[in-house]
Amino acid sequence: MNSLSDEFLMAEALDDKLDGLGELFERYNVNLFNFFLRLSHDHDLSHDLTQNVFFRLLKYRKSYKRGSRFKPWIYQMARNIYYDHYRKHVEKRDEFVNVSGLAEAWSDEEDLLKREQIHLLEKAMSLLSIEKREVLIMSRYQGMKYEEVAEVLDCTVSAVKVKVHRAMKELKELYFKQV
Amino acid sequence: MGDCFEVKDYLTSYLEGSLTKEEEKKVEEHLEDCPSCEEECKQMRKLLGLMGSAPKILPDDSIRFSFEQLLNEEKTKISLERKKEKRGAIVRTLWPKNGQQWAASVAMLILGLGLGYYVSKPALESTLSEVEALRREMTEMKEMMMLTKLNQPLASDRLQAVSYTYSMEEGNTEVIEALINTLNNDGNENVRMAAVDALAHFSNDQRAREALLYALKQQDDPAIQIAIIDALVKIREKKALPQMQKLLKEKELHEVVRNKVKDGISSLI
Repeated sequence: MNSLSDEFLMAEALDDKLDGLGELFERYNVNLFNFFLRLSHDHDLSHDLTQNVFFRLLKYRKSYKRGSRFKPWIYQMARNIYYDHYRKHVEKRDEFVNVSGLAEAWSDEEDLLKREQIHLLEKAMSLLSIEKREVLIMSRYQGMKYEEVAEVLDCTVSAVKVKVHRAMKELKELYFKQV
Repeated sequence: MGDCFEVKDYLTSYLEGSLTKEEEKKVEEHLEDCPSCEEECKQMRKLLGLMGSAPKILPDDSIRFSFEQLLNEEKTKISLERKKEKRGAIVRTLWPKNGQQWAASVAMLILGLGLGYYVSKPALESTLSEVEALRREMTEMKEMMMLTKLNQPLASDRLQAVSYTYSMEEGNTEVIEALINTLNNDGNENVRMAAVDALAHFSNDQRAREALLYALKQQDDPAIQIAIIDALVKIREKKALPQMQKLLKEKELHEVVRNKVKDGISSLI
């Protein structure tokens, strides 16, 4: 099963052969959890939202179009889930996210300097708008191709390049302002 | 590309290595001449490196457990739906072509019973026991169809009823009693003959064997007598020998039956 493509496993699921979905869970649960974690900086919420993605994957699998790419599809779902939650809870959202706890977890470095740098990076990330943050999370932290990000955001590849560039520029300023 | 502004726009792509060789060369030339852009490039490289090296956090196992649980529930749901479709197909197969009202009601009743049965069943069940349950239900369904049809006025209906029993692996008391009753009392000889074959099919049942022995004494239609003798020989019923000897002494016995009895005796001895 390891060598089968995401798209093949999903096509099987369309025919009600669900064994491949367990494999897709293994392939994506860590990345999706970290996607939510970097967006929300909330451990429990990220758990709930990740669970929600796989719940929808199972219940709404028939909405997957045979032959289309799986990764952008599931990230689009994840992104919708996050925005739904964000809209509902926007008034409750803490303006100043506490990143120190997560930065600890993100940095298992012995090297104190690097640890501090990662801490500062997370702080700078948390100051970016969600739109800028999600572009960087997908393209930089999760190593997605620009074509894939473009599909998730439903825009052109060159638009993604511009978004990444702008987000990086702002992040750089925020980061080095702290140093 | 001597313009700082332009070069800054290319820096991310440059560091990702997504520029063409030509563009790359131009950026590098500019960076050598421009300390400000060179500094910016260094910072950018550092950030990208940091982002790439940030470790991933593993979620708790609880999300895997709850997903597996959901997945299993969904799989069970699918297999139950398939079973339901299969049941529908069985009902359609057994549905009489003339669409008589009684047949419809019997089938609906059984379908209702079947649905009620599976709804009350525990969610998880091995496929094997599901197949077993399905087979049992199918047999029950056939039994009910058979018992109902056996009381129909048309001989062809009763014949069909008897023929249902051939596909039953074992008959229950009701089925066997119904067959015995048919063999002894049915007015149509073809139906009685079919009942003989059906009873021979259930030769594991003592009542079926005894019914055949009894019928050998009672039946006087040559065709049925022949069928009974064939059946008794087939099930190796030695208890039939005294009655067969007695038959040979009867003067009025049909010649064909007489020969059949002789053959039967020699193969049973």
